[in-house]
Amino acid sequence: MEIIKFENVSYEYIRTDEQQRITQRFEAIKQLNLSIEKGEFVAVLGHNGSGKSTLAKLINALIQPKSGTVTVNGFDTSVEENIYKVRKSAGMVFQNPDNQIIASVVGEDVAFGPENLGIKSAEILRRVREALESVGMLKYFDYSPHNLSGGQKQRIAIAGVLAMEPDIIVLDEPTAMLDPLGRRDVLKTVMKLNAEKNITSVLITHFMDEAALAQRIIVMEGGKIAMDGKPAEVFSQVEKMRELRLDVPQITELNYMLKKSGVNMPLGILTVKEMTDELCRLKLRA
Amino acid sequence: MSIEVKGLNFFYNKGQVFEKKALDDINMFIADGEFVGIIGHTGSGKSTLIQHFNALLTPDSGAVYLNGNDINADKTKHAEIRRKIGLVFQYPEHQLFEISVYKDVAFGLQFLNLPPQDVDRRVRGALKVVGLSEDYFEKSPFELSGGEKRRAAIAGVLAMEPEILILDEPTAGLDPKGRDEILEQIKILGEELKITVVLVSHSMEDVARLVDKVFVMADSKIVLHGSVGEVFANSELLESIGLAAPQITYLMKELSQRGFSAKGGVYTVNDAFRAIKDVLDE
Amino acid sequence: MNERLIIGQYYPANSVLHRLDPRVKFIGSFAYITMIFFAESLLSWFFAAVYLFAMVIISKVPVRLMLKGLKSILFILIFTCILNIFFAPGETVVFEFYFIKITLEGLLLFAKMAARLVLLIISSSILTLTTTPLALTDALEFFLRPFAKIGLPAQEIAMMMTIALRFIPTLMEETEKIMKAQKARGADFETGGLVRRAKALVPILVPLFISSFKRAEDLAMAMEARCYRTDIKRSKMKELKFQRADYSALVCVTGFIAGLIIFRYF
Repeated sequence: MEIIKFENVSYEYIRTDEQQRITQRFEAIKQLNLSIEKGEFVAVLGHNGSGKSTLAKLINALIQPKSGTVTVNGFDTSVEENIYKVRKSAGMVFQNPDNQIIASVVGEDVAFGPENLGIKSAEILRRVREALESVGMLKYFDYSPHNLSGGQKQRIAIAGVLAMEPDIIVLDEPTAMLDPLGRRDVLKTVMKLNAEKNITSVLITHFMDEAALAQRIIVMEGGKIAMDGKPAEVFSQVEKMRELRLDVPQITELNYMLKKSGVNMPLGILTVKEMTDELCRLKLRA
Repeated sequence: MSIEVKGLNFFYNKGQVFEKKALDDINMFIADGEFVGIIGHTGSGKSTLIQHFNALLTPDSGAVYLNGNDINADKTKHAEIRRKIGLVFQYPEHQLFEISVYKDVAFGLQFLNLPPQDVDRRVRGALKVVGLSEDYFEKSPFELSGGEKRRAAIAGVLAMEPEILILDEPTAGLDPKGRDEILEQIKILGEELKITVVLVSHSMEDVARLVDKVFVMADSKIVLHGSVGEVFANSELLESIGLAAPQITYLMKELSQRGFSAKGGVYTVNDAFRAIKDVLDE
Repeated sequence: MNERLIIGQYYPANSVLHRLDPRVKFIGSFAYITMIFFAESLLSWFFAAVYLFAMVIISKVPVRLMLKGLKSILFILIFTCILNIFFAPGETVVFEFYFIKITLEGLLLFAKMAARLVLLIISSSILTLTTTPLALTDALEFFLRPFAKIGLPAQEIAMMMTIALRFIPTLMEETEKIMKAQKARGADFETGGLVRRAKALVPILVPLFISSFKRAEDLAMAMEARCYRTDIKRSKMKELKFQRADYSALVCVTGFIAGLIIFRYF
């Protein structure tokens, strides 16, 4: 079942001057078609300005398409009455961990979403505890988020979304400001939620090693989808990725260089283990 | 210019309830003209350490020497020291404030009482080094893209013509293209200006690409230092402190364990390609 | 992290006072502060002091922290002391030296005033030391709620306070960071006259404003994404609810009021 559906969606940012005259138009999303199945883990790549963040905001109904329709969990996001239903089913985590935590106590912050939904106290408390538990932050319930690390803050932001019991979680470059340890923890959390709770995950990222963990990669360019496929399929097209000003993981790059120099091996190798197996096999044969 | 740190200890909130040791017996030497990396995860003390290099922080014990002179011997010289040591903070674009890129780069120079033609020469020079052409001079810094803003901010430090350049996480938060551009620029910078460069980072790939020597920090201490190869060879230690060597290092290790004997000391894709090719071509 | 980054004065401990409903603590402090203006006889003063001392003990907050608040009023105390002692009219002269005349009435007046100030400061310290800023906000929202009928947005005011509490440390840290960064670029904040120093603030304030606007924008979006809306009543994870201890505390407060009124005339 498709849980997110974009049909011929366009969106533009309009800048106006003091007299409300249009000074600049920028079409961030152009005639985009996309469908994401329930339970999928999709990574979205693309350089800045390719339309990734706009895509994320369209899913959460933070913005509505100029033309076309976005359907989330069966709700058309352009319909006024659907907005809060959409936001409840598609939670969002943003880039800057400091700018999305609202309360000065961890537990209170996670409770913010359910409180907005008007849920009863006892149920909120249950959800908050459960959400913090599943991101491994329950023991920080009474802490001030100010003294936590970036990775911990992002996990609290994820818990804040989880407490609303969403079907989808959209993460807009959640690891961009984190160190390797924080990145690893956040990624692990996302993968765990996807696997255990079947939460559809859309991860926007600049890190190729993170994208390699997804089931599907979408590459955006100029407001359109430039590439769409399994990580091995997408990363094996090294030339095209470079054209789109993106990297590929080191192993995939090595794979590509070897192949191009005449080594008889398949393309699309992503992990150290696959590469070692392949090279050892080649050496035996030689 | 060389930097030497001897027995440096530093506490946050010294003597208070919340006292915390931030640097624990740091000893290091960075020679003139070296390109050095300092790596460690957030909170390991690396940002605190580099703020000692230009006297923004003063050690509780121990000392920092520039070309053999203790920088805290005479506090009135601190402003002068800060001019010689260019420190580019994390997310330096957050300090931009002037109405044009040109004026922002010139900000620090107003305190030097230079003749106007010198100011102009330095500003133009710095902007050229970071690759911002004349078209950008009169633009508002807030109109630029993320990567351009950051380059403008770095130019502001370069205009002071520092003898040592320290960059704290210069690629944080940028997209791959912005990352590559900045790193390329830094590399050229070190080579062209022949100044000492200290790169603070948690990205092993960045470090592997650029530096000669690495210091690894964890829990307020320097736990490892040496050439890039020597440091990456200790992948277990790196992992235990929450860092990881580049993917290629793991591949080479795995290969040698499986009897695929490629040559050691490889940690970039290009080197790995050659090493593997050599074995396969034998 | 800096010690001054700790907002409010909350001292974490596990005491009956800490666990009380913040509204009760508000009422208690308010009642106490009002009542010490009624204290008259020596016995009533003694009663008020003993009551407060008991609260300090119950709160499990180190007395040192309680007294810290008094430092700030030391100057006022000395000043009023001088005024009262030297210039208060009175007949019973205790000490006379040229034009200086110290009277018993003056001394008493000062003693009363000093006692009032000290008790006032300590009682409000007990409130802020045992109650988190967030709980104070909740209590305030409750007391403001009746005014919602005349158009006062109690829920939004409380939300604003919550956000302010959350961001004060972040902004202070940011200010420090920007200052350091500009210093590293050669800026000089320490020397020069007033005009020059004021001008030196521009490179700090402009980036601070810009980043604050960015933060506000981000935060607004994050709040919206989590279904924040002002057109409906939000629920609460921790509804303020009176427990048995809260009722007992109210009885205690009433007892204090009654006691003080009685002792006043003895």
